Amino acid sequence: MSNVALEHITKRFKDVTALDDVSFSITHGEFFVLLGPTGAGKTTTLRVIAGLEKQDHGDVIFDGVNVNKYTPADRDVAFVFQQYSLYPTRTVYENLAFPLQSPLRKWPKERIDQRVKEVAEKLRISHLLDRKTANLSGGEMQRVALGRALVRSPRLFLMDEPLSNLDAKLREALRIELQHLQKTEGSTTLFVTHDQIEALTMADRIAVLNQGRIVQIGTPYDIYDRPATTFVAQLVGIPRINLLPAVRENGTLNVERSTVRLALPPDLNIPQRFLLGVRPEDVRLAADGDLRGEVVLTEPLGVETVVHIRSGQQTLLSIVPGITDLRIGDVIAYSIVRERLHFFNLDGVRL
Amino acid sequence: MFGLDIPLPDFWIAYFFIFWVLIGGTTTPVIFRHQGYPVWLGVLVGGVVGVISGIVFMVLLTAFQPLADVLGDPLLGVLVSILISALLILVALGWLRRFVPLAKNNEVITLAEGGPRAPVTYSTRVDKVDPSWLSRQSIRASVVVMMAILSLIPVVWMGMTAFKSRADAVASPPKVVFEPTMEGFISLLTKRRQLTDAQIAEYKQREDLAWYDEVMLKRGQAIIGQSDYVKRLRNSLIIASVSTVLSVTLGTLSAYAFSRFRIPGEGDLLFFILSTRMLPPVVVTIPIFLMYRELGLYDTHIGMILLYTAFNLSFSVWLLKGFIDEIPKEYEEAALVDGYTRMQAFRKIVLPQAVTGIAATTVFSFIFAWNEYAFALMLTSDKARTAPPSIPSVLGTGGIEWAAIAAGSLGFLIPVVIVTFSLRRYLLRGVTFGAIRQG
Amino acid sequence: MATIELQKVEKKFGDLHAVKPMDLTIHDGEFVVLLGPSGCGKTTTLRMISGLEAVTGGRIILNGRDVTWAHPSERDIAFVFQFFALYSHLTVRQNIAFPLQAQGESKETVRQRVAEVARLLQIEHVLDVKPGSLSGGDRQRVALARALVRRPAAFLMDEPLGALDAEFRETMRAEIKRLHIEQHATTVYVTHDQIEAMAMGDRIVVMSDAVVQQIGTPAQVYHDPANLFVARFIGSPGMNLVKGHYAAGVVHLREGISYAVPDFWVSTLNEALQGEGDVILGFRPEAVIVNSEGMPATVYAADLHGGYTMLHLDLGGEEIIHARAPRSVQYPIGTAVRFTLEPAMVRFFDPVTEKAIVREVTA
Repeated sequence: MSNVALEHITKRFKDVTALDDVSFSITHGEFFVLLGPTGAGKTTTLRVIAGLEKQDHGDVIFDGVNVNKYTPADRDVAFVFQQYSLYPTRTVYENLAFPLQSPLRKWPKERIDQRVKEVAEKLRISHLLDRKTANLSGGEMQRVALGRALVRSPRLFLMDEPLSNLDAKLREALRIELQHLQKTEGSTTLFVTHDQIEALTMADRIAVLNQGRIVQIGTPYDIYDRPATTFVAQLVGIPRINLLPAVRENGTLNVERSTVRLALPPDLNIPQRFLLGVRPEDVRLAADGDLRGEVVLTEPLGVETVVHIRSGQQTLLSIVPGITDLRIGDVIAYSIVRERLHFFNLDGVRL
Repeated sequence: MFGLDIPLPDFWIAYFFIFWVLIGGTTTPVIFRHQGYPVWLGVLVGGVVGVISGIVFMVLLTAFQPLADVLGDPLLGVLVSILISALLILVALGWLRRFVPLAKNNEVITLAEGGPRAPVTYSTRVDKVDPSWLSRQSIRASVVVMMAILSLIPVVWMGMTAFKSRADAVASPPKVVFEPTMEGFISLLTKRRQLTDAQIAEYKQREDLAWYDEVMLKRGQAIIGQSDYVKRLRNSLIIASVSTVLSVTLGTLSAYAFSRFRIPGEGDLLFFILSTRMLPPVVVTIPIFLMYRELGLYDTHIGMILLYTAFNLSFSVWLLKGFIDEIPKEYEEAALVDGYTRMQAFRKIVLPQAVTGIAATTVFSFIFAWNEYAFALMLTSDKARTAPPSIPSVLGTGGIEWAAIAAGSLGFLIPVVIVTFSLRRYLLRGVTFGAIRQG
Repeated sequence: MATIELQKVEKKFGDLHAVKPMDLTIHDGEFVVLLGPSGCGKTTTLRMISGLEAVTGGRIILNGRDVTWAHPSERDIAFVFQFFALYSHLTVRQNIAFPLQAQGESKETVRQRVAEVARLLQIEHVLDVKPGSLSGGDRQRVALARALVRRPAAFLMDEPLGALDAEFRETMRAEIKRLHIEQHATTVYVTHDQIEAMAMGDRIVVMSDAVVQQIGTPAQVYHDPANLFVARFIGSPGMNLVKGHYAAGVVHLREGISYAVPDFWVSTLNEALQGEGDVILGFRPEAVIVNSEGMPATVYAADLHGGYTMLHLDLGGEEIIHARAPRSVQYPIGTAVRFTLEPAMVRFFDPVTEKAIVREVTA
């Protein structure tokens, strides 16, 4: 396997800057996730690492060696695309064998056969080997795509949103399988996604990308508990974090256009106007709560219910365990957990 | 006919019969197809229905004759007869549908209460399950086939003329029924000389005359050798084929480059390539004539091939770029990442998927090169002259030999028809590609 | 608004059942969700209600009128598609006005209704723009506006949030639900995402393989799934389902792991299994209480799920169950733990019929 480092990568397409001074490193055996919305530059990053795009500035380094000049074939990486990576008129077996038949490798037939069967076994698709890929279901196709990457034992796996096109339940199942596979194989993996649950559950470390720039790099805990900007805070967490404009007044924090007032810790050094971030699980419905609000919507999710609370002109989301019998229009009491408040300045940067 | 005094000339009667058979033969297959039978059975039954309608039409026409005489308008009788006969056909078709059982081995979709009674075997969209939809389809089929046949009449006429004798070819009224002869073909393909009466008599004595010699002897001519037409046809074949192969090959490679690589000035280059097609060829013939003369390319095969390739290239590149754009580049990139070179990825992955586009481009390029007239006329004289400019020269001096011209045109048509027919599936794709994309 | 009744509605292609005969009554103003994996028949059902598919069995009644064979345009319903189906050559305003113009409404009415609906969906600022330049969320709002403007008897929505980014989906979900509450519009909504179904539905119709598995409120399908499929499908992750053998008030799950059945379940189980037999124990991740007593297990993995940790516990032999745990405690891989189950939240299923064993609750 290998260590991968990107240093100051910049890439422009005509007048759009796809990547702006992107740097990060992945250690051997790590599951590294690139998280960001569509158009953030995640796919471009993958393509630069694979050698399918040439960066304008910066270096790609594998195990200390600068691979800028290497062709994709020489970089020994495997790419799993979101779709269109399987040849529709060939069988699953042929698809899995194709990477091993490249002139670069010159493997004998028996060795190819053995490896294909081995990988098919691991991904539980041995029964599909003779089927044409056009006749597979979505989940099966992605397993074969994973198989194609696995079959070569490359030094690095690059995965571009491989689960995005699947049904919700299938995504869950394949996610757990993928995680397990990565841990048992110990493969260095760079995984790109816009789904924050995938990022939080699978990653050893996450890099959040927005409009070509790295916003934050850290473990899932870092990203969730200490988001560096409002963008990151809103990106992770279901339901989304409550972001409320607030002012500091005589030791209390007043959320604008609402009745929310909180006592501030005395040693807090923040400007007068700022943005307050509160996660829905930190908005607690409690009979002895010091704040009041009106219920405008309830979304029962089974294990918990999302309650939309209106206070003045602001709406706060709160999570209540289980299924509640609150109705729209009820006035309820709630409190906010002081210890886990997030403070951001008006530009969105963490204070 | 049939003991009836039908107020129409013979060939009009024939035409009307053909008309009714066509209507029957085109509407009935729709029903038969729907019920699961092969189309030919429907055509057969429909033909019979058509003949019966034709007879009914004739009877009606005769019956209405007195009325038309009274009103002083003969056309009225014809119109009324047509209307009644058409009505009868529709009734017959409706009746037919009820009584034609569903063929075995059909995927029958029985619909719920309140819907159309008969089971359906095609789409199950509510508006398509309507009984009236079927009748509308029948009428559509009929109209389309008839229009197709109407458009083909000139071609069919040309084909017939090729087999007519000189007299038949110019007969007035035109002869639909005639005695076929190979005179036209032979005249096209040979050089002859006129014989004096004495020589004709002498030739008639000979034993060693071939069948084609006999035919020409009837005209008073003896064959002295092959005409130039064969040579011209061969030139056409060589020049068109080679230039097609060249333009498609180069076109595919360029299209791939334009599609996959980021080429500076791409938009301008593509427009420039397209612009070569915007000129009427005639405009540039003189400059090219001068250039060719200087370079010694005038009247050479190479010269024509180069020219046709250049002209076809613009079309090829544009058409193929569209096709290659549609092939997701992830396929090649996966191969590149796996260790294949770009050329190998192109060969193993892109080409098989671009076959449809290549076939369509081949057909179009071939048709252009084959039919090209202006350049062929101006830039060749004898050695490299292709068929199109030479057909008018068959016109000859002693009167226009229509049969020969028809024969020449027919012979010229055949290769293109063969090429197009064998690749017809790809042509359809070529015309409609890229039209619909999932949003 | 409208009531929609499906009476033994069925869809067959030759011998293949796309939808097996189903009965469903949708009440006036109700938000019903058809939920299931790809190919279960939910979209086909929706299309039959809309008239885009001909019914091969049964009847569809809209407000007392038999519409089984009525043209789609005669059914007074509006359809919202997954890929928006907006006319890219018309502006947003023209797109929204289109259905009204097709119905021949006066210019004044059209103008008024378009303005009304644009205000409701907050798209007034994009009325004169072509849809091509709008974001996915805005486009879906335009599609909704176009459906709303006709004031139809019912709305049919085919996975409208499927094409949107995750962040938009959440906001649009709440918006559609709020719209529904304000308009009190009968809505039939198709999705494969059970979170959407739970959050939005008044009632959920869970379908799989052309068969309706269960019809119920979110609470019902979540807490009292009718069979194994519903138990697995609803909730993320789905219910933990562990095979075991029941005898004398105890379920033996595997070597050394036994679960003492809560008292109020004993008689039901005795009756259903005739004293003893194989049974499947079901419990959701939040029913698991990890502490120092109860059944033994080893920590296989632990993931961060935002505000809580999802523990994956190995019961031995690769039988993994999922448990929700607060973030306060750290569980390194390999830790031996013990856990119990919240008694009110356990369920039992028959392994052969896959149906839930129902406990009669006497008030």
